[in-house]
Amino acid sequence: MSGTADADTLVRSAVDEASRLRAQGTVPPEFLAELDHRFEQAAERALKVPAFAERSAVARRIARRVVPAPARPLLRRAGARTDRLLRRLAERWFARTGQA
Amino acid sequence: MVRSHRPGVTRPAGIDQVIPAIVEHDAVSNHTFEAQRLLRELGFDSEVYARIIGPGCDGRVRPIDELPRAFDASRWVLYQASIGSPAADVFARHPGRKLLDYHNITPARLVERWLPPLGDETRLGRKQLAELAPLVFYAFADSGFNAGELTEAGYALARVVPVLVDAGNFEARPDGATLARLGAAKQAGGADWLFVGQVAPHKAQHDVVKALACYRRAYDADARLHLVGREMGSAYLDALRRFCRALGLADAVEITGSVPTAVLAAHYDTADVFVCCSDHEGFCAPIVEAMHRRVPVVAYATAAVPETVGHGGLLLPSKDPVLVAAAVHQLLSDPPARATLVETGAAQAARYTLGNARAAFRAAIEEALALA
Repeated sequence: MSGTADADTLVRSAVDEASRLRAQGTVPPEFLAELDHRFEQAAERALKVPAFAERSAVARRIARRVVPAPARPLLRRAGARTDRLLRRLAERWFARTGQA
Repeated sequence: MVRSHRPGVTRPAGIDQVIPAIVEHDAVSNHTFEAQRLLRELGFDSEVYARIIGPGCDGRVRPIDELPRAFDASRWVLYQASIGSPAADVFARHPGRKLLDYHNITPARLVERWLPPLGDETRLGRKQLAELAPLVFYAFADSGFNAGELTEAGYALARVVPVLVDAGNFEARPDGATLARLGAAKQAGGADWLFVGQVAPHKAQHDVVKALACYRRAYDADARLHLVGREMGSAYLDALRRFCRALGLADAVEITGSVPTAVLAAHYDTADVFVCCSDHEGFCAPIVEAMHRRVPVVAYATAAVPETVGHGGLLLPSKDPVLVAAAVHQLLSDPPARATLVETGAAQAARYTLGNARAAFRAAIEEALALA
């Protein structure tokens, strides 16, 4: 993929080395599947937490109509703080209910 | 001074810029300010109008409502396109001759799961880009990849003008305290991986973490990863933190948030390798900065990344975490090859000087004048 001979050589070596790591079981398929699974789990949990201000298209549309432009950065910061607060509260809730 | 090459064509007295949002520490915003400086040096009156004006930009930027709407043949307007915005409609309605500078718009599919409103904005941005095509007489973009997207969107002319990057930022002196902290950790052993960019789903920091996990398992159990950049929405950042905790990498992965330039310089100066697994980059200025600061680059070859890296780094055909880990290992275990790559990287970065970018921008304006 790379344009110079040295870079090409390194990339080819890396491809061979990656095959070796798999073949020898140094990085087994289960480990890679676990990585994917763990990230998906983390993503699902993160998206479960409320983030009203940053994820609600309705809130944005309303804010655009009723809030004057100079005040919007302030509102955006307030929204982000609210989200962080909600996230912390949700974390505690998950911890209490054993879902953390 | 720029001269119009065709008799009878009036050279505009002013070229104003319109941008959806302008904030500090942002590549497109910095580019816009530098473009304003250059336009003024070229003898044009030039103001910047923005719909959203971030802290620290007050006084340098005017609200978009103040953009003159009466026809004035002596004023052109240049739109900085990077997201969907009502600012594009204001630009479209402006009666003056129109130029457009395209910085790429992230595909909605990469962000909408995490930030649905951003998905809407990026989708709107691509729609507006196509709608503006017949109204714009001269367009340019900051990479060949982006220029290709302009052509696909219907622009008859799409030149490449690199980002007006302030090289001064690349020369920042590293912060002493950060250098000491990172240096002490390095003495205990373990390679330092670095990625710089917004903590955002399309930058795929989670894929860098996966590669680090493979690297630690196969080669270096003490390796660390430093992710520098402000967050784009809290959900992805939250997921990334949870992911690191779940893998037992909370101590090995540092997520710094936005940092001052000197702290960033310290991270570059202590990094062993810059690893980029982004799914989408319209240019990727941090890759240039890494090459400039002599950090070898390993990157997934997608979007504009191959063009930015050139011959100056390892471009991988996939971001399979085992391959990324193996590539970093090949690089770090072969000092002569690493040294060669650092040299070619520095040479590639040297192409992106502010002087070269300014010359390209000036040439674009001259060509626009000639075509007007």
